[in-house]
Amino acid sequence: MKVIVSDFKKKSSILPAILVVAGLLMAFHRPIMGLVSPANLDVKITHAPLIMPSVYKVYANEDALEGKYSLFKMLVTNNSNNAAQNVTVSYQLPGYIEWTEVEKFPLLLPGQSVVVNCYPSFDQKIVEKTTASKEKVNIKITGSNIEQKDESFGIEIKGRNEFMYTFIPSDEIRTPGEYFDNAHLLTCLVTPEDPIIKYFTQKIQEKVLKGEDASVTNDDAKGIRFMSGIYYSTLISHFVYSGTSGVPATIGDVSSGVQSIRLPREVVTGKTGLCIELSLLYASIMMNAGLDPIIFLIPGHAYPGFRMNNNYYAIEATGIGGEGLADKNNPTGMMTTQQALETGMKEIQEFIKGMQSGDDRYKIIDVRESIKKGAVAMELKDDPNLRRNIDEIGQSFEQGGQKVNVQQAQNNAPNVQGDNGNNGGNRQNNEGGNNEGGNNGGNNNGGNRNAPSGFTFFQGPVTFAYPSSWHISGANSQSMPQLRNLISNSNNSAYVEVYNFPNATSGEQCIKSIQQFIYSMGANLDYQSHGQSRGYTIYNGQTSYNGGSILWLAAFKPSQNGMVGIATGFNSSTGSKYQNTVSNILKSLQ
Amino acid sequence: MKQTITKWVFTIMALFIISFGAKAQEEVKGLKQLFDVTLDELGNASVAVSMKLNASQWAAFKQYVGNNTSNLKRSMEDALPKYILTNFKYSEEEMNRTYTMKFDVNGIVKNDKNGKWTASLDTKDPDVTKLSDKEFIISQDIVSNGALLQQTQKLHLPARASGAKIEKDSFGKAILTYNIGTPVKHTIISALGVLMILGGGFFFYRNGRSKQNNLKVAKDPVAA
Repeated sequence: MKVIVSDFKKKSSILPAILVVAGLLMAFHRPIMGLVSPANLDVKITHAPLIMPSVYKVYANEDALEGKYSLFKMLVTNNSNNAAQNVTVSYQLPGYIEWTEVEKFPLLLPGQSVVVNCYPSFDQKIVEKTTASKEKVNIKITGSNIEQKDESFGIEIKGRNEFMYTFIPSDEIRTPGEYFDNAHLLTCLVTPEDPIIKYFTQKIQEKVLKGEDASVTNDDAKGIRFMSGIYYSTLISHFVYSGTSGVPATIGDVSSGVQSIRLPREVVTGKTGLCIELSLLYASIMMNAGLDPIIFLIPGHAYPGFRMNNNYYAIEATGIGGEGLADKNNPTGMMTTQQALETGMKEIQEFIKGMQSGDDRYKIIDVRESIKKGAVAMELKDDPNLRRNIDEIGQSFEQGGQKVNVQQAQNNAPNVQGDNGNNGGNRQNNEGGNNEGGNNGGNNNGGNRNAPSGFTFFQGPVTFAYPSSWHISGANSQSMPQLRNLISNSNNSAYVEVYNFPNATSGEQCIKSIQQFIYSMGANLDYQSHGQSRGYTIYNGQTSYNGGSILWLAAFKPSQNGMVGIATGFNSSTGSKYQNTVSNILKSLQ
Repeated sequence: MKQTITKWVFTIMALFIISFGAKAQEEVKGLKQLFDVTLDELGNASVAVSMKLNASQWAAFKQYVGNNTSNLKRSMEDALPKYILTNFKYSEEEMNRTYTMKFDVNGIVKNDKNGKWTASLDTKDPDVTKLSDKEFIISQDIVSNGALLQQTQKLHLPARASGAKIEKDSFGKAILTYNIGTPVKHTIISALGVLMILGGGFFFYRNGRSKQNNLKVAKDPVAA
């Protein structure tokens, strides 16, 4: 009987045990299969052509500039029939970044793809790197049921001053402007929080401007005064214009200009800078002072400015020149503050024309906007030696430098607020200060101007001078009701329109009405406010119609019952033939 | 889907801003865009962007695109640098001044081990209408350079998606989540496994009872 019991015990235990084991295998078949059945991953990597230390904070921020500036982007695809478990992607940049996990995926289903973007956090000391070096990025992909994959690629890390203007492969470049696709990263070189720049700004505010409140009052004239103060400071402390190396470089498929750009602190302490470097310095100082700095980029040049009350102002920062740059046209080799401002404002007009013509090399860098998008500046440490340099520069402010003094610099600045008189607190009334928001200088006797040679005065809702050879006609039934007179040349390729807008309260209303009228005629009208001058609000713009366009300037001022003003322009097909004429007409407005 | 939908819109906007310049600042009012986004079970998206334009808008659009529709592809890739876009297709109906661009985006939604899928919409407080457990409509008006853009995004979730909802993440951004259960065959295999475990347990139990009965029989002197 013992034998019978033993057999029964054996037989009765085997079947349930098999059932339980098989059941466990089936119930947990996915994790078990995952452990014993390996998955295969396919990896494709694209990476940045190089690393610019000056933009290290952009690399670290995945939200900066839409996440465009990653170290690498990797597509991982599970091309096996088994799910891959706990897939982890890590990378290392020896000497800069230790092994760091980028992303972990608990489960990658068969056929599933995931995209891994790597945004490296470099240590701040990377900005101390002054020369380029070749480095290697190692990538490791591990998982519970995958064979470890090791990938790597070489990459060049530039010096902190080297800036590459585009990362777009040369065979993908569509327009000349795309050679400057990285231009918005220039704001990483705008360093308002740099202790040295702060110190320099304080010196200007204290020693040169004797106090300023441009960002508090939001007064255009005070903004101009501040910008003039920067120019004047660089002028009297003998800053000079000088070049740095800029070389075409080919890295992988990318061909671009690589420019060595000195940091604002280096420009200050070295007392020398290129156009873009001076622009970055101005932007740093103006931002530190609470203004909204702008950098205008045009083919082959850059100049600084600011925006206030939706008006744009600029100055030709390279006007400081240097005695070594003197020639017969410019015996001193430098511009006065007034000349630098006039040149800057003239350049804005040329900039707008260039931009409106569709040339994408004309770029505006709105520093605050770029920073808001993540193109933030590097962090720089204080340096007692550099502070001593600033102190020495500050002494030249106190000594007055050359014969020019601050008061003169202020008086010489274009009188953008015109008849408002009180510009910057201690500014003297600059009667008739020439200031068409960027005109070319010219005659200016306040309210008693003389007509330029060959011009005749028009007396109507407004008074101005126009070429004597032009003829006056009245409005017709097809004209805009507010149009009073049309004065044009023989073939109507250049003109002045005289407007009277009863009940209007601003120039903006006038220009909007004209715009609506133009639209109703099937054409388009672009315009931009261009500041104020002698009580007139100035606009410039372009009217485009089928087959051509007209470039124009307009000025409106309040009258007893509304607004009056003129619009004067010329057909773009005439080139620059009437540019001075139109400019002179506007200057002659009384 | 982080940043995606909003960026699509701005990309198309940018095309107009580039092509119109400031020229049509007032005219572009009421531009309407439709984004049709279909998600598959592996987290990929098929996107169709379509727009119907008025005469002047169409002229400007054609001026920009011309015969080089790869400009659209480049612009879209520029606007979505974090993603990998493939299978671009472009079509237009000149007579109706309508164009459609289609493309696929890899791995736009991510999953965990429990079958929960998550995508960030990168927009705060979107106007969301839930049509069904698998379909959403997100509406948004954007004003840029004086142009009003009315966008409608249709979101189609996978057929097996359930429990879909749009919530906020810690930054206040909208997040789409849904669940996709395990496939039927896996469920059946697992269920069978559980049944077998239960069956095995039952047999162990029954055998145990039988053993006790047999022992009782062995102890019975009569039976012995």
